[in-house]
Amino acid sequence: MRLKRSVCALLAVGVAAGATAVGAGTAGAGGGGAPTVKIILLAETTGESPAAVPYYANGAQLAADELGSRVEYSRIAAPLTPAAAETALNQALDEDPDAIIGFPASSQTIAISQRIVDSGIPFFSLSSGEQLVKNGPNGGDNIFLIRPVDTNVATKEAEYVVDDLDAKRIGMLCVDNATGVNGCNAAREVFDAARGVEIVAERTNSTTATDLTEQARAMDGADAIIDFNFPNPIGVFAQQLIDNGIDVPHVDGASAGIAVASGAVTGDAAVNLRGVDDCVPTVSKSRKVRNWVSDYEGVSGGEPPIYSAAQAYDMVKLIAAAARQAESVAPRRLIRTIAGMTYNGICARYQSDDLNVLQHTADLTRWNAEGEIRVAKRFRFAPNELAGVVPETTIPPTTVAPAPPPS
Amino acid sequence: MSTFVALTASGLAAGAIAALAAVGFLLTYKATGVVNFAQGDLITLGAYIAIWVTQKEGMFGLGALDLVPGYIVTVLIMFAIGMVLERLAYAPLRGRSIHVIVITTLGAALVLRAFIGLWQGTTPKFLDSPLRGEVVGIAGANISQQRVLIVVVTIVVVSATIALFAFTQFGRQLRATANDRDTAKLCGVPVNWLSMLAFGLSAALAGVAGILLAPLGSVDLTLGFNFMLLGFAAAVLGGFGSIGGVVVGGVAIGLVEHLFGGYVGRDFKAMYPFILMLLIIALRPQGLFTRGSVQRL
Repeated sequence: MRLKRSVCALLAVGVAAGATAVGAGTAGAGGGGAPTVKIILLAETTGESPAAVPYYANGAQLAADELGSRVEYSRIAAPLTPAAAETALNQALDEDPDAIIGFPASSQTIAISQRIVDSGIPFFSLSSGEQLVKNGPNGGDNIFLIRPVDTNVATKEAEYVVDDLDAKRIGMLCVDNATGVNGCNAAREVFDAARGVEIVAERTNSTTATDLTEQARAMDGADAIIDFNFPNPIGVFAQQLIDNGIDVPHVDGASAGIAVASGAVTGDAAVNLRGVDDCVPTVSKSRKVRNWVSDYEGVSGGEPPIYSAAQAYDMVKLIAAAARQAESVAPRRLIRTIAGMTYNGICARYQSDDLNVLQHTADLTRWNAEGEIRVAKRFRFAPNELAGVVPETTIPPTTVAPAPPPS
Repeated sequence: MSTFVALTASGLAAGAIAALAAVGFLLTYKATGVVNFAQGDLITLGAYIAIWVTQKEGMFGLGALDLVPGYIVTVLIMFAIGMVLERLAYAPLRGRSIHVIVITTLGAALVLRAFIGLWQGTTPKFLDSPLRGEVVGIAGANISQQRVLIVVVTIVVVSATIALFAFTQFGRQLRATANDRDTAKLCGVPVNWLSMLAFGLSAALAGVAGILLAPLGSVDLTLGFNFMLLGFAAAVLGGFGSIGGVVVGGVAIGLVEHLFGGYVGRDFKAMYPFILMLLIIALRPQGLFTRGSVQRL
């Protein structure tokens, strides 16, 4: 009897302790211990820019909804031109934010990077131009790159072509802007350094090309093709390769997924194509990610998320977690905390390196003939990996768990 | 040889789309004296409307149409849009300086593009075709049947337009209006109605171009812009005179870009049509196929 009473007493104490813990957690999560952090997203959701997509806004809004009073979130439309982007940034700075997430295009961020650096406010770049790394010509202590650096991804793609596909004769197609030029330059270095590898054809195309017959036929004899391009030309090129009997692996970047998703690439063209995305939440086996995909589709009207939605979501959560850890939203403390923390998000495990790059993985994707996607390989980028840039400081990392939603 | 054939086919297909755009330019120019720079965005709009009527729930949730009926409905919708465009963007400015009206058509182009972006978003889409993925072998070259279709449909459409000009009352009235709008009006030609019809036909041609072009790749907001420029260059080559002239201009533009550009200075091939246009403006400003003198620029 006494034993029974003791067990009951212990249980009661346990329940009470649990309730207290939950209560304390709720208080902390709900704003008792953590300061409210003001976050502004600079991104368009509608307009004629290809960067005007709903993913960033949906992802960030979902995170803000989950965090409730711990964040004060708003979005300012930031058109693609640098002048319009600067206006959007000025609008944002007028609102005195604690952190800014913004600018899907490198051209926007690079053009006004000095203004961003001068503001001192933590800025999370949605674009991944190498110029924006901490010690780069347009970088700064307060600019963090969410995504892996473009040229690092291009280098990994080229290494995949040489090492995994074992291609000796390679065809290259480069769109005639920074995406194509930087990508092809990085890939060419890998091919030039590889023994027995020959570039059999190198061609360019415009972003609006609707006929790439000459480029496709020039690839005849290649074992594999590497392509740094935009979605529309990828659709044209992939199909014209098949039309012209060139049935070899065709490796591209993030635009490949958009081209396949649009329906422009199917059948053998889709099977041959490889893309690289920062992550592919829709095929993740993780329960946490699957639940998040379901939540996202609830706010997006059923449209599945892509990496950019997950990254925007993760950044809002990461900033809130940093504010909680720092117990402050003062810019210097936030920056220092973010630079030293690790955050396990939906898209990736984020950890700032000395270049202020947060994500160090990307997924090589493939499709079947019906356009269903799968992750074929994960690329991992060593911290501080960027030729020619010398890291400035090293801060020992600490790990922060994702913040739970408020009860 | 097979490369030559493949590049010729590409040049003819691109030239055919440019010719459709150029004939659209010519129609509005003949009826109103206005070069409608919204023609490129009308091509884009045509592609998006075809996607709208043939995919998912179809237009207004009425169900997706099969491809060919969907294409026909698209052309009809585009015809109506052209007439509305004339009422909104041209009619209120009739009698004003031609420069004002031309700038207005550019404004209309921007409005159209913004509308498409708001309506359909900016994520690339795809329009299917009955000939998707099919190729035909000619002299060792595999030519996409869609490109063959582009050439064939353009020949049919342009022939029908020439017949419309040559053998119908509409054509005679349009030619009379082109010669002297005021005299035509005094003779009882309904120039306002004619102007609406010309804009409608021009937009319908843009719709045909969009439907033919879209299945070659993805559809985005810039789909038609480049072909508007090529169409304008083709119209300049043809001297904004006869339909035959601008069609030849279109074919020349396509062949210069793809055939000449396929062998010489490949990285600069997008420039060649416009170099040709500048040469024609400098050396023969009335165009290749227009007789008589015109003012030099």
